[in-house]
Amino acid sequence: MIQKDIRELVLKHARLSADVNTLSDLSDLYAAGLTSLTTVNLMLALEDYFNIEFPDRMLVRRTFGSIQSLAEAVEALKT
Amino acid sequence: MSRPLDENGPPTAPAPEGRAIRRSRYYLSDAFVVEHGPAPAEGPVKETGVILMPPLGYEDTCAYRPLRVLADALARAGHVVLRLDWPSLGDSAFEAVQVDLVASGAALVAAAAQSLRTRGFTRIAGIGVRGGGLIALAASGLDELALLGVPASGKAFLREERAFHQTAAKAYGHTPDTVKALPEGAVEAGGFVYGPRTVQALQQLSPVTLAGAGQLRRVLVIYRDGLAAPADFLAAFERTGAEVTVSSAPGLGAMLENSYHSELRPEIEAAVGAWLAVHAGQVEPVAPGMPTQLRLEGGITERTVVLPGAVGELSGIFCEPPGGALPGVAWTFFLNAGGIRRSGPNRLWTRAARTLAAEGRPSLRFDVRDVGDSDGTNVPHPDLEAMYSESSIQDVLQVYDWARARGAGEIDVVGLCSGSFLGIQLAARRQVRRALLFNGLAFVWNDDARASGVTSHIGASLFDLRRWRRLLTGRISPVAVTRAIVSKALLAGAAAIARLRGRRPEDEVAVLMRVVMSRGTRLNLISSEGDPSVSYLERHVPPDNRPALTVLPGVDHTIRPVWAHDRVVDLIREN
Repeated sequence: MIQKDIRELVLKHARLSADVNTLSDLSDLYAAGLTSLTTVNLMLALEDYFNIEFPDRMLVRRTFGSIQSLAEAVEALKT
Repeated sequence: MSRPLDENGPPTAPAPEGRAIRRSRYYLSDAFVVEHGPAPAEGPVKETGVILMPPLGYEDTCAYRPLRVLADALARAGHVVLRLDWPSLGDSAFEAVQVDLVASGAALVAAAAQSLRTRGFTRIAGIGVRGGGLIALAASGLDELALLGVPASGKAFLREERAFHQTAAKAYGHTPDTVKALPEGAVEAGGFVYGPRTVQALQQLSPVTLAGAGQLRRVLVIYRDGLAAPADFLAAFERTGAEVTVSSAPGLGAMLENSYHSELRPEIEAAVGAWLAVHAGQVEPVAPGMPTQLRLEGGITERTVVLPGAVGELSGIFCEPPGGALPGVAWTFFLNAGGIRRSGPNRLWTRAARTLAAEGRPSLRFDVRDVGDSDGTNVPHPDLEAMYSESSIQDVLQVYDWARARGAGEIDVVGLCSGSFLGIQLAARRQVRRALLFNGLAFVWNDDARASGVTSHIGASLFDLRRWRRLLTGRISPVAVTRAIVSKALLAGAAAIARLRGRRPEDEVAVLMRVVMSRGTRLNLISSEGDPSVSYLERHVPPDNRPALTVLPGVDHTIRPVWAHDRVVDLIREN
C-alpha cells in the first residue's frame, strides 16, 4: 500500500515534530511540523523512491499537505 | 598599458579581534583564488591549511560574502585559507557549457592542496558548501573535510536546481520564439547553466559512495537546517575509520538563499572554527608565489587589482585585450548590482568583460565597500537602502580617478539595479562617455525614492531560493509569484500617479538625466518588460527629455534567463 511507503518516507525525511505513527492519512503535515526545507527533502525522497518527478503544478502546499494527498499525487504520476 | 596595474593595496586588513590578517589574490590552475591568512608580522601560522570550496550557481552568488567573512575569521584564528572560485564561475576561466565542473573542480582542489603542502603545511582541511561539498568529496589531497549542507546526491542537487528554475521561470514572462536552445543535456537553474558534461558527472556523484574512498581522517557534517544527516552517509565515513563530527549549527539557509541579505551565522563560524582548532601545531610556510594574471583564450588577460579604499581594500579585476590596453583607450566599468559581487548577476559582467576584451576594449569590474571581495561591513544590510549610499559613490569615484591616472581614456559604465544608480551618479560627477543602465529603480536617493518603496520592489522582484521553498508550503501564493513583476510594476505606476499630483513637471531625476546628457554622456536605459524601472522613468522624466529606453521581453529584474545573456552582452558591445 502506497500510504505505508509514504509514511516511512515522511518519518525518515520530513523531521516532523509529531510522531508520524499518531497521524492519520488525512492529518495536516504542516501542522505536524513540516517546513519549507523539509518539504524539499521529502519531495526529493519521494521522487527517488517512486521514480517519479513532480511537475511544477504539483509543487504546491496541497500536494504535500497530508499522506493521503501525497499518495494521490504519486498514484497520478505513476499511471 | 602605460603603467603597471599589479598593485596589492594595503598589506593588512582591519581585524576586529584575533590576529591581524592579510589577503592576497592570484590564479591557480586558471581559477581565481583569494588567500586569507595572518599578517606576516603575526609569526607562524596553524599547520592546517584550509581550502574553502563554495557552493555552485545561484547559491554561490548568495554565499560569496558570508564565506569571505568565514575565511577572514579563520585567518584571525591563525589559519591560511584558500577561497576558490570554481572553474566557469566568478572570476575564474572557462564557460559553464564547455566545462566538466566536477572534474575540473576536483583537479583544482587537488592543485590547491598540493600547493599548500609544498609551502609547508602538514595537514589540509577542506570546507565544502552544498554542491562544492560534492566536488570536494570527488577530489584527492584533502586530509579533513567539513561538509556544509552537502546534497544527498548529485542527482538530488540537480533536481532541486531544476525545480527552483521551473517555478522562477514563471515570472520571466513570455520567452521569444527565436531563443537558442541550450546544448542537449544541459540544465539551467537560477541564471546559471550546468553544461552537459557537468550534469553527467553530477548524476554519478553520491556522498555515500565517495565517502568510501577512505582518504579522509576527520569529517565535520553540518547538515541542512532542521534536518539530520542520513545515517548511511555518516556510516560510510565511519567505516573508513574517519573521525566523524556532526553539528546541528543552524544558519545554512541564511547563507545560501538570498543575494542581498545573506550572512554568516555565528553558530556556523563557531562549529567550523572549533573543529579546525583541534590541531595546535604551527608552521612557517613560504609565500604562495602564484601569478596575479590570468591568460585566457585569444590573448586576453585578467589581473587582480586592489586599491586602498576608505574602509580597507577595494578589490577588482582588470580585463585586457590581446597586447594589453593601449594608453588613452576607453575603459568600461562594470558596477555591482546590489549585493552581487563584481562578476555580475548570473556572471554576466565577467562574460561581457571578456567579450569586450576580444574586441580590443579593456574593462574593470570591481566591488564597492561592503560588497563581494571588498572590505566593509561583515553583517547583512538591514535594508537595501545601503546599496544607494554616498559612500558607495565615493568608492566608484576613487576607482575612476585611479583608472584615469593609470592611462584610461574615456570611461563607459555598465550597471544593473543599484549599479545603475552608481553609474548615473558617476556620470554626474565625472566625465563618462556612455552609460548603459539596466533596471534602474532609483537614480537619485532621496525621500521620494525611500517613500516609493524601491527597496521592497527589488525584494519582491527577486525570486530566491527561500521564496521558492516557502511556495511549497503555501506561505507564498503561486499566483503572486507568477505575477510578481507585473503587479509590482502596476503598483509602482499607481503610486506614481498618486504622487504626481501637484508635482513639478521636472523633478530631481529628470534634472539629473538632463545634466548627465548635457555633459556629453550617451545614456542608454534598458528595462526588463514589466520591471518597475519602466514606470519609474515614466513618472520622473517627461517623454521629450527621456533617454533611449530598450525593453527586454521575457526576463526578470536580474536577467536570469540564460537565453537573454547573449542579448545583454550584445547590448553592452553595441552601446
